[in-house]
Amino acid sequence: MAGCKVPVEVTEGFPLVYLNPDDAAARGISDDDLVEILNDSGTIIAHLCISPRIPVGLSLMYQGWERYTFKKGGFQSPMTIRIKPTQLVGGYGQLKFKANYWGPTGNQKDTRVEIRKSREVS
Amino acid sequence: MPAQKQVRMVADLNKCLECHTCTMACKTMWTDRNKGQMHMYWNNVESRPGKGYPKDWETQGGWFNTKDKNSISLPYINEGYGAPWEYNYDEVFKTDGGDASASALVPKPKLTENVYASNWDEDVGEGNFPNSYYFYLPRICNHCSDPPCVDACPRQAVYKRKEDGIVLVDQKRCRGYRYCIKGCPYKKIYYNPEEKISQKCIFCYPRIEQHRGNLCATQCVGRIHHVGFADDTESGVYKLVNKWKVALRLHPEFKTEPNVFYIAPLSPPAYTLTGELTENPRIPVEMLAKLFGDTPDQSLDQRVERIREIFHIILTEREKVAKGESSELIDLLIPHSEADRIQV
Repeated sequence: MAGCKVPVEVTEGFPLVYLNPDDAAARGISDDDLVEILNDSGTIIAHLCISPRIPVGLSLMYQGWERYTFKKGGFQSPMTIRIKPTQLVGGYGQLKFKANYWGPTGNQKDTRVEIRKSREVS
Repeated sequence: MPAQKQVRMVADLNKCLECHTCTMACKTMWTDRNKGQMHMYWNNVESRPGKGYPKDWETQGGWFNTKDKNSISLPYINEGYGAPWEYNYDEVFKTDGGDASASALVPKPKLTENVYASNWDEDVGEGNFPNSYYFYLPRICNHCSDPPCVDACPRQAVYKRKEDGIVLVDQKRCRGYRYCIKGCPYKKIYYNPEEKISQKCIFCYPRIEQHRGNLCATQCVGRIHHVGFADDTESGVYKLVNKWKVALRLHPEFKTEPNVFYIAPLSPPAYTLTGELTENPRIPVEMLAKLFGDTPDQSLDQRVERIREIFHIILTEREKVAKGESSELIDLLIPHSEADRIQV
């Protein structure tokens, strides 16, 4: 199987979370560390990418990563999906509701989280 | 023997959005079928400031600055280019009968050590928010007028075509000594470990021969490229490089006379600590001057001056268009059809 036709962005191969250098220093985490992103809802694990373009106090994660790319949790873990009426029509492919997994519009993209170093080995 | 004609490319970095369509067009066309080409991106786009692809290529040197030519190190495929890997889909898709008690096999990445990829430091940038900055730099082989890879090859396998100045590796003569990779300061020749020969960007010469643009240029959604011949005074590249003089070479201090030119990116003004706008662009001109210039003997200050001058030209012309006047430069920089930017 030719391995390089996946988009270049995704050749990095694991979920990334972006954080400001000051925030990272305050938490004692460094570039490319495995970090836990957590709140009361749940925890996910991602690789840290330190970038000065992110304002202090904000972390950023692109893409809806497939569940299997995370070592723990899914990308809905800290951000639970709320039921939308369209998800209740049921039985039409992706138009169904499954708690904390995958929905057509996981659009509750902003939430409060804490980030800390993960004990998982990369 | 110098080339009779020389094909040239100008890339307007103001318009590059790092979508990698050029990379994918090139990859799909040229390096997707044969073994050993997985790490090769003849065209790649890298975020600047950044380590680039291969990693730290700017500091690896080339034929131009080294006396002991064997001392130049080669980029390793894993650490330098990033060896591609694949999820274990084969395993996941294969089932061996209905064992309902077995837990479902989920795809897992097979990571190599020292993992790297062609766009590793995408959108990372430097500076401090809100004055952080980065821009995108698409790179192909520069098809230099004085190509060090040609000098480097002990078997004369690398040659520069007379009819269009495209630099090619003769795949039958090449024995994979990799002196060309050492010689090229832009590290734009790739070693194929399976076929044990070197391969590189061919400027889509079969298309150029049919007077069609190379794929990275024609597929570009931002329409950033102009392609044409250096001596064709009607072409966009001539007008941008020789007439308006707004296009600069990448690392001219490497002394290879590259034929891919760039229009340095303008940027919005930087903020002061109190949130007021300053006169300075957010991407420091000094940083751009370390990358772009006209000639090898220009000093850094001269390059800074030159880039400021180019910004002034572009902004003045833009003002003119805003007032309703016409400007040849802005018309060139906003090409509407493929014929406007590709004249081969």
